[in-house]
Amino acid sequence: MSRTNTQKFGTGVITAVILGLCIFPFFAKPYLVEVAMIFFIWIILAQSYRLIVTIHDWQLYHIVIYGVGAYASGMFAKNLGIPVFVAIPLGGVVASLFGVLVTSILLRSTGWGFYIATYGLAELVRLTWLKFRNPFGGSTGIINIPYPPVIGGIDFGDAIPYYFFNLIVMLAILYMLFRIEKSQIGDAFKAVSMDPELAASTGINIPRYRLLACAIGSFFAGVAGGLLVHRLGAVDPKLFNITSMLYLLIWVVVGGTNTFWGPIIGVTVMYTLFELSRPLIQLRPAFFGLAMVLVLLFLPGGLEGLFSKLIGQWRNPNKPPATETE
Amino acid sequence: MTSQLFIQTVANAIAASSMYALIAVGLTLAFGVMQMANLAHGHFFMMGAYTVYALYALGGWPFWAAVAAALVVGVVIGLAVERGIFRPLQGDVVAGFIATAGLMFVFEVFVGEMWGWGHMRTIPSPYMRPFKILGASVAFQRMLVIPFAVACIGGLMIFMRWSGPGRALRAVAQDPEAASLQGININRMTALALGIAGGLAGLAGGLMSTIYAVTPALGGHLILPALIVVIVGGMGSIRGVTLASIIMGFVMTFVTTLVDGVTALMVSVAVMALVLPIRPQGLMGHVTN
Amino acid sequence: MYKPITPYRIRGETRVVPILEVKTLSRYFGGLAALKNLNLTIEKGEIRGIIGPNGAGKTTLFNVISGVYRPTSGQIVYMGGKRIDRLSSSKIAKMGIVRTFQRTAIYHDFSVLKNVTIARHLHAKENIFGVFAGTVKKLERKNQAKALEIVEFMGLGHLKEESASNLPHGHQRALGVAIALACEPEVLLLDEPLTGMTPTEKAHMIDLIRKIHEQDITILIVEHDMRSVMEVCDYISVLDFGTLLVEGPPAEIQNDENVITAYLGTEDIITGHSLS
Repeated sequence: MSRTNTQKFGTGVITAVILGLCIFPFFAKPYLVEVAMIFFIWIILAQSYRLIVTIHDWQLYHIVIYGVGAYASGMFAKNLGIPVFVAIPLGGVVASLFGVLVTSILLRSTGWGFYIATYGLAELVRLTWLKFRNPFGGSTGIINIPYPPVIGGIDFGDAIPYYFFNLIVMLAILYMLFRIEKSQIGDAFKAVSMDPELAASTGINIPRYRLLACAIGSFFAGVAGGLLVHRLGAVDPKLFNITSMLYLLIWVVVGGTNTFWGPIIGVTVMYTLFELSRPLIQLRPAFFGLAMVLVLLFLPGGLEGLFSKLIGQWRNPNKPPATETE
Repeated sequence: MTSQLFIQTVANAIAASSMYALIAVGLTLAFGVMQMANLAHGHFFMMGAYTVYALYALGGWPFWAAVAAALVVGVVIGLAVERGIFRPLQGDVVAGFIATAGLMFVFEVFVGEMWGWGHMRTIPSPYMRPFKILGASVAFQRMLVIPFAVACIGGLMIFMRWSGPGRALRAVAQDPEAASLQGININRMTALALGIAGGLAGLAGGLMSTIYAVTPALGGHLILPALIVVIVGGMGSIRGVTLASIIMGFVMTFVTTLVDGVTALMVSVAVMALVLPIRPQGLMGHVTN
Repeated sequence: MYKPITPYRIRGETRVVPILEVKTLSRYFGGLAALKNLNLTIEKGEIRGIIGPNGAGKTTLFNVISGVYRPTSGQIVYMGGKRIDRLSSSKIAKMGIVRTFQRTAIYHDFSVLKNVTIARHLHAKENIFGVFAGTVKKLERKNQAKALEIVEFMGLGHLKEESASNLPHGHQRALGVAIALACEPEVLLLDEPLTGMTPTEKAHMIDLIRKIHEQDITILIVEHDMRSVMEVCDYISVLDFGTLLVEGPPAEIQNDENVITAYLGTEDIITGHSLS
């Protein structure tokens, strides 16, 4: 198969998927529509996390940034009366500023001190939400957050219209991230992740690029928080704890971060399993923890590595699979 | 603060410091030898606590036998994690960190399934009577951990200084390549380090099992303060971590008594956030690179 | 004969200043002095060889000049006026001093052309919003064209779409130099460019170095291969234990007793034959 044929096929697949997603809510049980919205949020979180992680390191506060966006959007709408569709991007901006602030403290560190510091900072924020009932609502969080309004006769407080809103936001974010990936800035990000010393020696200012990636990734995570909070009508600090962060880590690690599609594959496969395993909810964390350990030990390329090998085989059935060059 | 409350708080602080020391010293030792930290370390403590719960509270074993078993369980788990996770990963820092995070889930589910989730379990203490120090009454059970901490850490320091295996551990921590050129078996040293770490944490868990509520979430609660102690004290430095445990034990206990536990944790994180940019190697750690 | 100094313009007047001056440079690692009060003066347009036995401090010197390490004391002055010893390596690269690495530093997952195009980033004015507005497209094409020029200049034109990891060793080293050239350096630091090369590859690289020199780029070379160094350099500085042992044109250095002693007479430094 030639390159352009593969591209056409890929575009075809994507179009089919999007069409499927558009038809889906009209035929599915209402519960599944809610699950789908959460799925879209995880995709946004996983892709934004990938942007930040590849240029810097595995930080543990991304879920908290999502939470900052959620709290901000909820509070803007409830306490300041800002319309929901304005509050959501504003929440993203607050999350972005916060993410940049935190990252600028940790800019030049990597490795253990960095991981532990990000964990500590994430807990610090979460504890702040827990401690200060006013204005964050303490351990019960905030309730009575406004639902989205009626626009042009469509009530976005209803499931299906809001589902389409989420779908469009997710696709827009994925498109933007894809454009960045293919651009010169995306190349610079990749260069830094492949060989920081080499990248710096060609004049790439690594701290500056880290802050840029962080600002973008945190903005998208914050928007995801806004999407969540105006569907639930409430915000609960338990949603943003280390367990959720570890699940995000599992989706992303299992999917892989080398290519743009890794996190999408990871979330699709793992989150589906997650929901399917609801009957076994007690045992679930163990399965996922084990899955992550097994992937790390035996499948270091992640699922995306597996996929690209399979696609490579399918494209060139006569060529033996590429061997790793060290 | 009344003088009674003050004395009680000091006594509690010393006990807290001892517990943190037992947990954090193993963590920093393992880090020094492997250059990897074990996020599931708090869960070693938890497994020790559950061992005492299972054997003593449920199984009727004598208390001290159960505590000894907790230490053994810790050692075994430490060795298993080294063999099953750290050794195959060959020093891949990111993978080790993520793998031990996944391990946390596995331990929690195991313990939850075996002995139930959710509600707090208190174990009847064999040393119920409080005793008086300078006029303030203090729970004896809480103080138990102090002589053990002193003995174990003192013993560890002597072991590291004067014994063959101890000096080999230090050699590996300083320069793994040079150490293996001298014929030291790195894998055995890593196993030794993690076995010691697991044993200390399991012992601490066993001793504190009658104080803390034994729930599957126990490990997760302790890992952050333990990591803070290691960062402040210095990754790889036993002396630094011992000093840091005393500092953080006092800070956390006094803030908890004066305000509340949430604030205490926030203050601890703030301390770490201050130490990291100013002195990233901690109080007594070595500057790498 | 030693190449004459080319004039250099500073503040409107034409003065003759060296392009790079290393002044009493020291770099300690713990108690160990990798560089000790080193003085070096590089003139614009020369090819300077930096040689010396192992541990003499040659790569440390490059690391300090290019900003990977800060000096413990001393100064590095660029173009007669700018002190660069406290700047970051990306800043120094932007100012025109670019280095290659002893290890083969290339982007293994990218094609040859992309490796060089990425390094052109220095000359791209990027803007995150420009990415979506499409304003950067024209600049991207210019950069890619220039990258293609450099790739062909280095003799890699026929491999431009090949993945960098598939290239033979010699070509990978050439790619490393191409990446450095993409930054349009005034001063090029080549750190052991001939490592691990066959005689044919070495001859090819030496040719390329001469071609680069014809573009009026100042070149510093750290190398162990004596014959090549003597062949291509105008002037040679010999380092030992972190200080300057002796300097001079190749003919003088070859016969200098101190230099021969410094290498402990383990091999005739010209022919490479063992003396024992």
